[in-house]
Amino acid sequence: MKRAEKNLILVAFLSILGFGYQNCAQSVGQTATLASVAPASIPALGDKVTPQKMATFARKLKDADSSKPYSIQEIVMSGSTVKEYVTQDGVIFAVTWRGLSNPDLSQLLGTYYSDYRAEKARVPRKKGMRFENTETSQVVVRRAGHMRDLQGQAYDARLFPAGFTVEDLQ
Amino acid sequence: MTFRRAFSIVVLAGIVVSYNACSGGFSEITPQSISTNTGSDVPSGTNVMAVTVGACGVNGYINEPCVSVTICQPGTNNCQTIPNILLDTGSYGLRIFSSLVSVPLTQISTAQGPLYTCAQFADGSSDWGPVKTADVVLGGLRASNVPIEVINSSAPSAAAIPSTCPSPDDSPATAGFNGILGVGLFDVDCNSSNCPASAGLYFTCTSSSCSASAASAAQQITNPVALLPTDNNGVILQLPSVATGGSAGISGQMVIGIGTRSNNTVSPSAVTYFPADQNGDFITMLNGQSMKSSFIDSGSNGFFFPQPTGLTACASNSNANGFYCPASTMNYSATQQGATGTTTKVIGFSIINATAFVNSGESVSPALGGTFTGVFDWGLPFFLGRNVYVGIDGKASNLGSGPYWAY
Repeated sequence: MKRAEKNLILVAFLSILGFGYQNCAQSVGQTATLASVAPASIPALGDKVTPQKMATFARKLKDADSSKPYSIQEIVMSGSTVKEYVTQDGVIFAVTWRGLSNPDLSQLLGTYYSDYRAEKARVPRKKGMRFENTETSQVVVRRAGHMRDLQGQAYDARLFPAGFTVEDLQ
Repeated sequence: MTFRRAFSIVVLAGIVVSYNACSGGFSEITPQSISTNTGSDVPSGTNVMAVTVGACGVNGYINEPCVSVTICQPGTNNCQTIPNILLDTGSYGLRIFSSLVSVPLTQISTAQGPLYTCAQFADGSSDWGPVKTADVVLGGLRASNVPIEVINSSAPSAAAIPSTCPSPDDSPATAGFNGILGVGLFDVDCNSSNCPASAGLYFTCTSSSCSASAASAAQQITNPVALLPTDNNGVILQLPSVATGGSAGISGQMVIGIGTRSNNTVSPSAVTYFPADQNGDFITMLNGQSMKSSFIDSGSNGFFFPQPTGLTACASNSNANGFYCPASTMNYSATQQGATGTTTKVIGFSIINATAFVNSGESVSPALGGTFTGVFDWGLPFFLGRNVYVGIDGKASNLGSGPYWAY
């Protein structure tokens, strides 16, 4: 069986369990079919992707419209449901996630990952502060929540469409 | 002085006491020198565990609540007591560093091989290790055959640990505790019916590589309270109040069971009952913002919430980066609401200057706060001066059905 087929079966299995989706996704239209995820090549923060390519990975939750000129795409990764915010030009300017485990940021942050890791390494860990608030000149990564409900967001504010603010992230 | 070092005061390092006479009672270990203000009405009984708040063990930190836990080779009196275990309402199940475990425990295996787990926390940290079965003694109550995590960042080999479990804690000194006792709202750490391989929490391993694995409810790391023969529907955390200026250390207790015996029974009219949702969250409203993913977490050391206008954050290069640093104490009120129902309660709280507090050298603060977006995390300060009832999912008490909080 191909990996893609396995992943489709997995997604279907999760849906039957009421797991992952209901748990993690906010109330959204269930119109499109969820595509499979090939972990090694998930569209990452900062990537520019065509709608066709995005459609092979993600389920579109929201189209760009005149009041909000960006789309929101949903990808189910291992342990986490990810939303990617995409400009009308196809640039992923923010990602959010929620799930049972933290997503693999080495995939999700793409070219920002090394910058993020360097900042994480520089700042001493603060025990007892069970969240993360890592900011560099390029990328912001925030995480919060608790076991069974881990949430987070990462974005490059320089890529935000006009009028978009951090509060618009769901 | 760094923030971390500031809290590395007062503490005995990982003392482990082994003995072979569980039935004869459990020796008390006082992990640190503390001042107490327990009153004459302190509950006693086999369902009561002592709790200290201060810094626990090597590299402990401010507002860290800890207990001693006894684990035994299942079905035997071959037991040991391990102190400085973080008492955590934000997680589920017992996890202890391998270097401290001396009683023989058997690892759980699936058809694919021996089972491992990666516990993940919201700060991005993780604890990796084999899933083993132990009897767990809380106070004088014994839960049999509890799946626990024996934290070990080199099992079966460092190279085998999957990349999705990055930088797992390698020692008590790194973590700031000897282990974690998760007594939050759920019985298991993933899913009470089945944890799918896609959750990314369980793995089976050879000596050199690991693959994601499903884990049945009986194989998942389990809140030992839920497996007690009696008093298994939740816990009550009872900690004394602390003045705004702070304290060097306090002691209180965790009473096991809710409404199961005279020392843990309260009239429903005497507390407010807040049902939590399937994620263990409820609602907090602050300054017109409603935060549906709010929670109560004894393992967080402050109130963490979106920064209100006029509340200054500590300098990013200061010893209290991430906390608030108002010039003078600021007072706020937030409204809590259950995930369902309409009951609300207004909670007043204060925020002090975290840098001044760190410099004071005290270890317990009722008014430490920090900034986060979109979520209200009611950390350890919320527990000070309250009796907080933690009702486990799927279990009921005279207060209502779990998952819930009440106080």
